[in-house]
This record gives sequence, structure tokens and C-alpha cells, in this order.
Amino acid sequence: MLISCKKETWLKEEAYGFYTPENSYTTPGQIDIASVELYRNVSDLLYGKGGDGTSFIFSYTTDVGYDAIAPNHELNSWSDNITPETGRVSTFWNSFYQWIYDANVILTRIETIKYATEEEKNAKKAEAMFFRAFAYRHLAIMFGGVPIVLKEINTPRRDFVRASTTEVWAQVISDLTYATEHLPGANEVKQDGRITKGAAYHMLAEAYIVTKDYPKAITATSQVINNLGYSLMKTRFGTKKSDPGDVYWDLFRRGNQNRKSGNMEAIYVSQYEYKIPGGQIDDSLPRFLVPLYWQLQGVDGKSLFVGPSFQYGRGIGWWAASDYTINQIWANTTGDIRNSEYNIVRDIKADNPKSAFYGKDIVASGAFKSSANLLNRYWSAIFTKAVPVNDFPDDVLINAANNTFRDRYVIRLAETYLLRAEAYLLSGNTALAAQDINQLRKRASSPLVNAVDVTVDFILDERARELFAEEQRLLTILRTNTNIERIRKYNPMYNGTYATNKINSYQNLWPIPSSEIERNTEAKLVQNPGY
Amino acid sequence: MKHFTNSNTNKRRHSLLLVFILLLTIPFMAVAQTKRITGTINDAEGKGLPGVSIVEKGTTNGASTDNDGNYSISVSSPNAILVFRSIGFLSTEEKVGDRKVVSITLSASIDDLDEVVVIGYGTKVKKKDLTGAVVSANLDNATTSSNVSIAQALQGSVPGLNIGAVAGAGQNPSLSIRAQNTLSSKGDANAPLIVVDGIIYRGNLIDINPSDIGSIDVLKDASSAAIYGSEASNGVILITTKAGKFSDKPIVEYSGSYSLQTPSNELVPMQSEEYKKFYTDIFWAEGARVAPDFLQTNPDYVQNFASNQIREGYQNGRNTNWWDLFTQNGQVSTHNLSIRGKNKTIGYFVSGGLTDQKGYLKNDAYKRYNLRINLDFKVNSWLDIGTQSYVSIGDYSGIPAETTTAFYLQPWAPVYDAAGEYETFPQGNFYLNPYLTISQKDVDINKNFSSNLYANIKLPLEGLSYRINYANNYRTANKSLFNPNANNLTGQATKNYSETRDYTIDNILTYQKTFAKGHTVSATLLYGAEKRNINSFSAQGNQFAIDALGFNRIQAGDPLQNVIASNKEVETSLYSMARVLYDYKGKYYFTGTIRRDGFSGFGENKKIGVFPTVALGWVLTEETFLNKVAWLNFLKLRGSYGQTGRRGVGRYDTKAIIATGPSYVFGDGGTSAQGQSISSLANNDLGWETTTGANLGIDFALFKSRLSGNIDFYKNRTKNILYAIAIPNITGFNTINTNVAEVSNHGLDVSLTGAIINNNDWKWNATINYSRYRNKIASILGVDNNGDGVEDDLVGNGLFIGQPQSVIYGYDVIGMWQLQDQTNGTLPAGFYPGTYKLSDLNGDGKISSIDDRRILGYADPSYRFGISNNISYKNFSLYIFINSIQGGKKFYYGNDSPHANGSWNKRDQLSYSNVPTGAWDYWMPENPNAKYRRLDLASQYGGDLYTQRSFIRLQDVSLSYRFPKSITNAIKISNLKMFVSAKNLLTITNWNGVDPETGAGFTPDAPVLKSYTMGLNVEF
Repeated sequence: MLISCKKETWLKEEAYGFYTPENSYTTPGQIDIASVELYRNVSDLLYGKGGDGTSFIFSYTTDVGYDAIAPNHELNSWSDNITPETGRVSTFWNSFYQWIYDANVILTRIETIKYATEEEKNAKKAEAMFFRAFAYRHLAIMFGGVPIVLKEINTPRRDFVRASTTEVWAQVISDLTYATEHLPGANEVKQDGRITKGAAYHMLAEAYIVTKDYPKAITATSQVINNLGYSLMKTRFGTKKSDPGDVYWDLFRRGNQNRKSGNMEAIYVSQYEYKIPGGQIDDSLPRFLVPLYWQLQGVDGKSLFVGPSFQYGRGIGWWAASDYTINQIWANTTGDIRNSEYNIVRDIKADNPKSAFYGKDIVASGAFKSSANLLNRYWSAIFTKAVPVNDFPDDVLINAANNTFRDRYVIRLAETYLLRAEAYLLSGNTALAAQDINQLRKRASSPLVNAVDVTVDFILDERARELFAEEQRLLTILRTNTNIERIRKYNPMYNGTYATNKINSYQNLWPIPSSEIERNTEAKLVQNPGY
Repeated sequence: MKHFTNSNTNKRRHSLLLVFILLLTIPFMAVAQTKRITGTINDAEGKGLPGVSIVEKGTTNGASTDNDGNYSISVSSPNAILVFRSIGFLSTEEKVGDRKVVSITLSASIDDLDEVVVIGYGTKVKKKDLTGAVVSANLDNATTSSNVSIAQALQGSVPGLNIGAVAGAGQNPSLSIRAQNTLSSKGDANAPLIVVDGIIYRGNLIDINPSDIGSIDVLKDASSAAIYGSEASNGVILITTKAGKFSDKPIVEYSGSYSLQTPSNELVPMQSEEYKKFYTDIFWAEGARVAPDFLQTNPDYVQNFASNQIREGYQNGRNTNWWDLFTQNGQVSTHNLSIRGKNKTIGYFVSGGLTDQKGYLKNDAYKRYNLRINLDFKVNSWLDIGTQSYVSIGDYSGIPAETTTAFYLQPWAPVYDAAGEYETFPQGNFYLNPYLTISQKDVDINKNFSSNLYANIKLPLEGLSYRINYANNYRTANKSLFNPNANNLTGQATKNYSETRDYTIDNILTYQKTFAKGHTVSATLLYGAEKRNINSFSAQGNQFAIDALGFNRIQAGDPLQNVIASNKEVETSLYSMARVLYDYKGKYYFTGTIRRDGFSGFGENKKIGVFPTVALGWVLTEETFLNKVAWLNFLKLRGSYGQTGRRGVGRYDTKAIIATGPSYVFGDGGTSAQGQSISSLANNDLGWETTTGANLGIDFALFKSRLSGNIDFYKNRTKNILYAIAIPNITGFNTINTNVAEVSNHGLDVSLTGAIINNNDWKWNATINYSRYRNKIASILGVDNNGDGVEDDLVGNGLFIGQPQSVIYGYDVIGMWQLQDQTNGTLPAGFYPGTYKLSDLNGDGKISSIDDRRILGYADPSYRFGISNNISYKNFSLYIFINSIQGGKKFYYGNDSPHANGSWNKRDQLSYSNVPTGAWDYWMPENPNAKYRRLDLASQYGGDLYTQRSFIRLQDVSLSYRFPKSITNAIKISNLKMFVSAKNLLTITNWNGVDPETGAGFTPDAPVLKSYTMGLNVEF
């Protein structure tokens, strides 16, 4: 038996327990499965990599926040720690190219797959193109002109060269344009969380602003604002609408992000589903942003708190909002609900019965010394949009009360207004810019802004008011080329409050990871200037 | 005359014939004889030796012993001298005098030149006929110590066989032969191939009961190992289990031992008082001390604590000794019972064994049950059949306490809550109370069923025989765990089940013949195949409303959260091999082998590898010009050259793989959506690594063979090393496996054995083993991008052309920055007072990871040695074994800095951990010249201190006593031996960490245990 069996047959390696590319990208159903991964990729990097601090880099390396552990911790210092060798730098680079690869596999293999209708196929292509554009958009803003890859790679290539920034943006615009044409609208989409026309128009508008094509940016944003069925939420809604609060608070309660919840403002929502396989994202925003209030010792030597509470969760104050975010941007905003006691908690009551301050506001009563609150890690303020206040899932233990347990906005209509305002401003129309900003300020019951007061800085402030801990702030200030001055001015690790860390004048772009330059042996990847 | 001249098979046959003729003639010669002498010849263990030849010196008068070692001979005068000879023993002369009974004990010949060595695929040769570097391990003391795995018993006993130390229950030590040929130092990448009873063994070595093992032979050089082709380049260990041996009645043997184990060295966490003092030092720069000189404590300083309970514990002086609560004395007990015997038609060895080990950490336990039946039947004159079959069950059930937990938990943390229940999270964070950790229900049992059936057929042509082996090995790993504390205390149950069935069919054709004029040929042809089937399944249930049934009812969990996984893998090999051994008059030797190897895991375009070797041997002492040199008993030169392979690629490594699984949930209240993505690139050209090696050896025996030894020098070069080359992530991938790099090695193995004292009562044999190797990376990617004419290093991977693989590459720490530097403004950016001052190697005024790191040393050992002593006095024997690995000038470095441990390297982590008592010499404002940097932070560049791991260890001391015959006969047993032994009694080292040999640094790690063993062997 043995002697007779053929060598080729006997030694043939057959895969039983896993799929191979040959048999798993051949039907429309398999393409659907592959495109699910594109969503996962984005959610993982932007929200799910909180456990190691990665997702928060977009916030704490900016003007709105800082790392509260130590002046030299992680990426607190741009000049020391954002270098070609920084692991975090390559994490982003690698992830974006992973997104691109996954999209390219779909876009390459879908061509030979038969679909019932051409529209169906085009919609799947549009979906993959959206994600590819989303990745190139991140790359272009963070790294500048990067190599453009548009096909699945199946050999170990080492000959990449950088395209120009203009070429990358042209690619982003091309992909997004296709996406706007073929993606379904908000009301046609089959499932909540799927990419729609609106998301593509929004991102397209941003790309046009970067490429200074303001009329097109205005047209694209106007599509979203006027024609695609989105509107700002102006009245209380959702799961906690009967609780004390306001509509801005409602926007960030659990279960209130998806369109089916009645939220007309959400454009692209990163999905979260508690306790369902594949549904959970390790989104530790409360853990990292909420202060370590529960460890504070009062001046009487007793703990102010018995421990973390289900009200605000178990924060560790890994990063904190800067004074800019907590105080400065709220000057002249009397009545702004985004700064209401529901949305920014600036004082909380001690709950340890053994404490002399039991039941008293800890800041107002002077319950702790400043030496107990180094770098404001233990107490600054609680941004309730980051916390499921009193709404952690029932079975969560207090030491796990540190996740958002909810969907997250990747794109929200409020930002579309701010993008259009930016486009109007940059094309010289401050009146219309003010009008867009005032849409948000009206909803927030904030004093309206006058056209003459609208500047890029004002828009950045308004974004901080509206989108703190929500937008990828790093991308916003890089894109607007304001990161250097704003970090020097507002980040307490740079402006002398806690330290005088440096950000170099060339650091409007991140460096290309040096490992990537090393590996690209057959062509030269040029490093960004200064690094 | 040398005692081994009549040694090859043909000559021995002649001499046996001669003895036979002599025996026949005895009656006729009796007339002339005057005196009849009788006696018993025993070995050192007091057992009768059959077949010893007895010759009256200077005559042809001779006799030989019977099965019990008894003989009788008639001699002509009292002046007669009797010469006793037996293979494997020193020949001994006795003057008869006026004795009528001459009984003696023969000492084993220490040069072992006649010892039979297994060289693979059914062939055995005498040690003196070897052409390659093959060493038989000495197993005499293997079972008189607390060795649970046979590998532990081999430690230091074979030069070039490197065996690590173990710390946990039921663990195998790391195993490698000679130098590292490949680039990977991971897991099994450098592990030798293990062959048990002729069949490649895929199971866990710990499943093999050490007391079932008859012999272990180690094939070290390419020419010896190459018969195993693409799996041979790490060397081969051949294990042969015991078989029946000739005996009229069954021999029943019982052996048992009990060991008690305590740490040889351990790090113990601080108690409250000590930790309290240490604790404030962590915060010296953050308010606990008063600036600017930071020498005074700050009375206003407020200490926040990890939790309220910790603060209360701190304030009330709570002291929980987590370490003591979760450690215990280790124990090992073993019981082995065997029955063996052999007659003309059947030989049998039947054994049962029980090993019960309890580790140093609570709940770290291992139990092993062994059953074995080895049988051989002589069916008729041309057919033998037999089997080696066994069952081994390894039980690892129970979740052990962790050394790290005792350091994660501060002494101020409570064991119990206010209600007297276990505090679930004593530290207020995620660290589960260790009482709850160890009380998880865990069943973890591995079963290994194996049966090798063989038939040996003598074919009509003389010297030609055919053997078929059909071996089946079936292993299961079954692990069930219920953790009631997972998922926010709602529970998690998992069951993992995996089974592996390997089978091997070997067809072996052997031809052995001695032709006229001393030409002896032995040829082997092999054709065989192996198939391995691996199946696994696991299920997990989460969130149990009622958890009473634990993992026996996983479906009681929340159905929405069930997780299942299954897998099947198949791997096949197909191989053929030819080997010719030739010798001329025991003087000139030639060995040639060639193996052709196919493996399913290789890339589509590279399924087959061919591995040829050749080896020569020359016994100089057989030449006339040397055979008169009295002090030189044996001298042989050996040389071999050949190729072996290493698979490197595992099954499916060449394939592109799709990662799939539940990936996302769209919408609120939605269900799981599957996702998929391609997770690796295919490479159809991936094949084996090829090691080309030369070995030069010399074997010698001097001074009546009282001093003997071997010296082997080798040089290996491995090409096409499988390496995961980094590729630009722009491709979507990080690395791709490719056959690229080249590594060369050279080394020296020396073994010297001397009979220092050898008289009737006192004997002292000592063996010194020494080995060293040097390893060099010849090539990695083969590219020179920087254009300096030399291939580029791969700094990111720590690989440097022309250097060993194990470089320690880092900054030169040349001192410490001080507070003064900050005040003076001389502190460079990125550094802080109390952090390491690093050498600016290129003198450009700033520190950079590219320009200012250098090779500080190497992690590989410089050399190893072992000294074993066997000392016996009458019925006592003492074994002492000293093991050492040395770093020489630049080798055997490791990082034993406290900061190497993530929990102790910065303020945050330190503030919710504990540290070892005594802590370490850390920088503080009042301790500016400390060895280690400040506690709370490092500079941006870090810097590490390295120490050499060199050590000398008194590894084994064992004293045994064999009861004299007078006693054993009286209690009707044939043999009784008792022993006491100690392992790892003493270690001399400068290493700061837990153990130099395991490489465990200054970090919570299971200690290597010292053990004290007592036991006995009885034979009925």
C-alpha cells in the first residue's frame, strides 16, 4: 500500500482547518465577510487600542490633552518621543497599510466575481474604496506623501517610493468620489453602522479643504447637510431622555448613537455590542480619561472615596484634558449646554463616610492638597461624554467599570457643519461660516458668533467644544498646520505648567518609521525633513 | 595484548568456538591436572556474570562461567595465574595460591570501548568501531535523584549536550546539542530529534518513564545524524527502552524514591515595615522629599493609594505574607515495579510506574502513570517479532499559584473582606485573590498511547535480513477549566480537547557479512513514511446564571457568548536512506550514508531534500608501528563530513492563511458578523535549512585503559536558514518566511575518564566533560545597502554579520547623572538625575540609538564543563557531579537588573507592586553612587546593566549502599540497594537573579529547587 502510493499525493499539503485565498474570495458572500474586517480595522485602531494607550495618541499629543503620568511618559514629548524609531509611529503606519491591504484584496478579487447586479458589485467596491481612502487620508495628514498601493500585493515587494502629497489626496478624492456615487444613503443602508453616501461626502469635503478646492468642499458638505436625511438633534431623545440632562448629554448615552435609536445626526458610527462575540471593542476611554479621583486622600488623612463608583467609573487619569479644554474655551459661552454640569463635571462629592468631607464637593471644600493631585491626574474634570454615567452594564464589576460600553461616532453631522464653516472661511465667506457654526451654538444654547470673529483658531476652539474626545484632534491640528503653535501654547507639558517639553518646528508631519525605510531595500523611501 | 583485539563479530565467534573446544577437551586433559578451582565472578553490583572466560596464564587451559557466574577449572600448580576476561570489564589476573575457591568482582572497563552504541535504524556498533561523534549517556545515576524527566538526568553528562534547569512541576528542561545552527532561538527551533526505540518521537519527553530507559545515545555530528535527514541538524537523541535479559526466572524489581525540595535561591517580597520605607522612596521626586537636595522627607506629602483597603492596611499596619501563603516545600515521590526475563523464545520487560510531584508553588502538581510492555518472540529460525508498547498519563490538573502575584499584591492588601470571605481583588485592581486563582476547577490530563510492532525476517541470503516497524503513537491533551471569577464573576468554562495520531512505517533491509581477509560490510536500506494527524476542538461558555456544574455543562452559559473552535492538521513525510559501514580488520573504517527526505510542510516547489555524508576511521593501535607501545592501548582517528537538514518550517507555514472569526456586530442588538482577512503571504519555495558539517575526532585509551577519552572538533555551516525577513508594512505584512541566512559554528567536545583508584575495596572513577562552541552569522539578507562593501547588519533584530547570534547590543552605562548636573545645566535632554549616564560613542555630543550602542557581550556560554566522580568502597558508592557553565571574558551575559522587570521599572508600576526584600542598590539623592538607577523613571534612552551568568553548581551528590549477599540471601531477595541523594546543593555565581542557569533574572520567577532524595531498589 505504502510503496504504491505516489510521492506527490502523499506529500501534498492540504489545509483542513483554515481557509486559503484561493477558496475564500470567490463569491459575493465571501466578499461581504471580507468587508466586515474593514469595519473592524477602523474600530480597533481608533477606539479599541485604548488598553495600551494607542487610540488616545490622537488626543493627548495635542492642545486639548496631555499624558498625566509623567512629563516624559509615552509620547508626551514630541521632540524626544515622536521619532522614526518610535514604536507608536510604526503602529499607525502599519495599521493604515493593513487597512489598505484588506481593501485592496477585495478590490482586486471582486473583479472576477459574478454579482446579480452591477449596482450591488459597485456598492461593495465603493465600501472598500471608502476604507482605502480613509486610510490614505490618515497617512497623508500624518506622514505626507506616502507610497500608493492600489492592488493586492502577493509577493514580498521592497521597492516602494513615496508619491507626492498631492497624488495621495488625488487618490483619496478619486476613491471617495466613487464611494459617493455608489454607496447607499442613510435610509437605504441595510444595517446600522454601515458606510453610507453621507460618510463619503463628509470625508470628500475634508479632502477638498486640504487640497484647497473650497467650492467642492462646500458642495460635498452641503450634500450631507441638506440632501441625505441627516439633521442635528435638538430635543431630548434616546435611552436616558427622562434623566436630568440635555440633548448634548443624550448624544453620548449608551444606545443613542445608531440611526435606529432616533439619532439623525450620526453619519458613521463605530459599533459596539456588549457580550456578543466580535461585538466588543476594548474601548477604555473612561479608564484613561476619567481622573483617579477615587484614590484621593483628604487633608484629614482619610480617603475621600470608598472606591471607584458606577457613577463615573474607574478612571486612572492616564491622560487628562488641558486647561484649554476645561476652562479657556468656555470663556464667553454662558449657557452652552456642552459645558453644562451634566456634560463637564468640575466637582464631585466625597462619598467616604469616614472622611470629614463626606458629602461635600471636594474642590469647593478644599478637601485635598495639591500635592495629592500631581499633574492633575487625580482630579481635573470628568467629561461625561466619555463615561456611561450610572449606566454601566449590570453585571460589570467596579474594577471593570472603565469602558464606554457604547458605539462611538466616527463622523457626526456637527463636524460636517464645522467642515463647511472651515471651507466657507477659507474661501472668504465668514458670514456663511458663522452661520454654520451658529447651527451648533444654537443647538447648544451658546451665544452666537459674529462673522468677524470667525477664524481658523475659532473653528478649532469650536471643534474642541463640540468634539473633544471624539474627533481625532491630532489629525485636525496637523491638517490645519496649527499643531506646533497650539501644542506649545496649550499643552501643559510644553507651556511650562508641568514641563517645558519641545516640539520641533518641522514636526507638522510624523516621521516615516525607520524600520520601514530599512526594509524597503530596493528603493529609497525618503524621510520627512528634520527627522 | 589488548583485551579487545578479538572484538569484531567474526573474531568473537572464533574465540567462543575456541572456548567451546577447550571445554570439550577438559575431561581428557584432567589426568594431568592437580587441582580443581571453583568460584563465582560478580559485577560491581554483586550479580553473577555469565560468559566470563577464564584462562590459566601461559596455557591453553580455560573455562567460562555459567549463567550465574559460576565456574570451575583445574590448574596444574599453586603458581598458576588465572586471567578473567569479559567484554566490557577490565581483565583481571589472580594467583591461585593454595585457594580452592577464587571468587572475584570484575570492574567495568572504564573506557567502554566495547560498549554497544545504537546508531539508528536498528544498527548497533561497538564504540570503538564508530566513525562519527556518537556518545552514550551514563545512566547509572539517572534514577537516584529527583529527576522527573530523563533529560534532567542527562544534564552535564554528555559533552556538547546542553540541558537547562527546570523550575516547575512536570516540566522538561531545554535541550540542545552543540551550537545553535539556526537563527531562531525560539521554542523547539534548536531541540534535537528524539528517537525512541527506533521511531521518531513526537510526544513530550516527560511522558517517558526514566526507569524504563535502558540506554541513551546521542548522535552529535552531521555524518551520524544525517540518517534522519531533514530533521537532523540539531542532532539526534536515541532512547532505547529496556528489554528482557537472559534469566532462568523472572526478575522482579522495585524502585522507589522520595524527594523533598526547597528553593536554591528565591526572591521573597517585602513585609509591610520594610515596604513602607521603600514605598516613599518611589515618590522622592514627586513630593515625598523636599527640593532642591531631596534629602529631607516632606511632612506635607500626601500619599495616594491604589485602593481604600490598601490605605487602611497601610495605616493599620496590615501585613499579609502572600509569599508564604502560596509556597510550600516541593516533593517528588516515585514508585516503579518491573518484571523482566528472557529465555530462548521469549523476552519480556513489563513495568509500571507512578511519579507524583508537588512544586514549590501551591497547587503546582504533576502526576504521571506509566505502563510498559516490551516483548520479543523468536518465532522460528528466521522470524522474530516484538513490540514496545506503553501508556503514559500525565496529570497537570490544578492552577498553580503564581510567583508574580505575590509581587503584584502589596502586604497591605487583605486576604479577606469584612464578611470573612476571600477578598476577590485584594489590590482593588484586576489581580484576583490567589486563593481564588488556585481554587479554580482545572483538569489537565495528557495521555500518550504508543505501540511499536516489529518483525525481523532472516532472508535466504546469508547476512541479509528485513525488518518492518509499524509504530503508532496516539496522544490526547484534555484541559478543562472553570473560572467562576471571570466575566465579572459570572464565570467562564472552557474545554480543550486535542488528539494527535502519528504513525510510522519503516522498511529496513540489512546486510551484514564478514568476507575473507577481514573485510566486514554492514549495509542498511530504509524506505519509510510517517503521517501525523492532529485534531483539536475547544468550547467556551461564558456568564453562568447557575454554575454548579462548571465545565461539565458549558451550555449552561449565556448562549449568545458561546465560543467554539476546531482544527485539523495533517503532516506527512516520505523518506529513504542507504547506509554502508565497512571495516577492514578493525583497522580502517568507512561509513557512507545518503538520505532522501520529503516533507509535506515544505513549499510546493521544494518537497524533497537529499542529505549525503561520508566518514572514515583509522585505529592506529592496530598498526604494527604502534601496537608495541605499552602505555597506549587504543588510538583512533575519525573524520566525517556531511549534510543534515532542519525543517524550520512547520506544517502550513508556506501557505497563505485566512484569518476568520466573529468580527463585528452591526446595529444595536445585532448578531455577530464573520470577518476574514489574509494573514500571511504564501511562499512556495520554502524548504529545509542545510547544515554542512565536518567532525574530527580522536578516541584513546592509555595506561592499561585507566585513562581514556575522546576529543571532537567540529565545524558546521548552515545555509538557507529559514528567517522571517522583515518586509515593508506597505505590503500589508510585517515579515515573510524565507530561506536566506547563513550561520557558521565551530566547537570542541572533550571527554576524559580516569580510573584514579582501582583496587578491590576502593574505586574512584572520574569523568570530565568539556565543551565549547563559537557561533557566527555569516550572512542574513545578503544585501549591502549602505555600500560599505560588507553585508548590512539587521540591528533591529539584533543580528550582526560576523558576530554570534546572541549579541547583547546596547548603550555603555558609564555612570549616573546627579542632581548637581541639573542645577549646573549639564544634564543633557532626555536624561534626569539618577538615570544612567551613557557613553557617547561617536562623540557627537548627543546620544542616539543608531550611533551610540555597541555590542557589549554575548548571551551564549563560553564553555561548559561537568565533572562526575564515582567513588566506591566495598558496598558503598558515592556519586558527585559538578556542573558548570562559564562566560569567559565576554560570554554568557544576561540582564539581571531589577528594572528589566516591567513591574519594577517605573513609578506607576512600582506603586502598586511589591519588591523583593532587601530591594536593590538604587540611586537616591543620598546614594549617588548606586549600582542601579533611580526607581521612578529611566532616561529616554534607558540603558541596562548586564552580568555574566557563569556558575559552578554541585548538581548531584548521591550515596548508595548495596546490601551484601549474606543479608540479601537471608531475606530471600537477590539484590537490595538504598540511596540518599541531593540535587543543586550549592551554586557559586555572581548572578544577581533567581537562577543563572535558567537565566531567570532579578524578577519574580519560580526558583530552581534543591532536593533531597532517599530511595531504594529491590530485586527478587
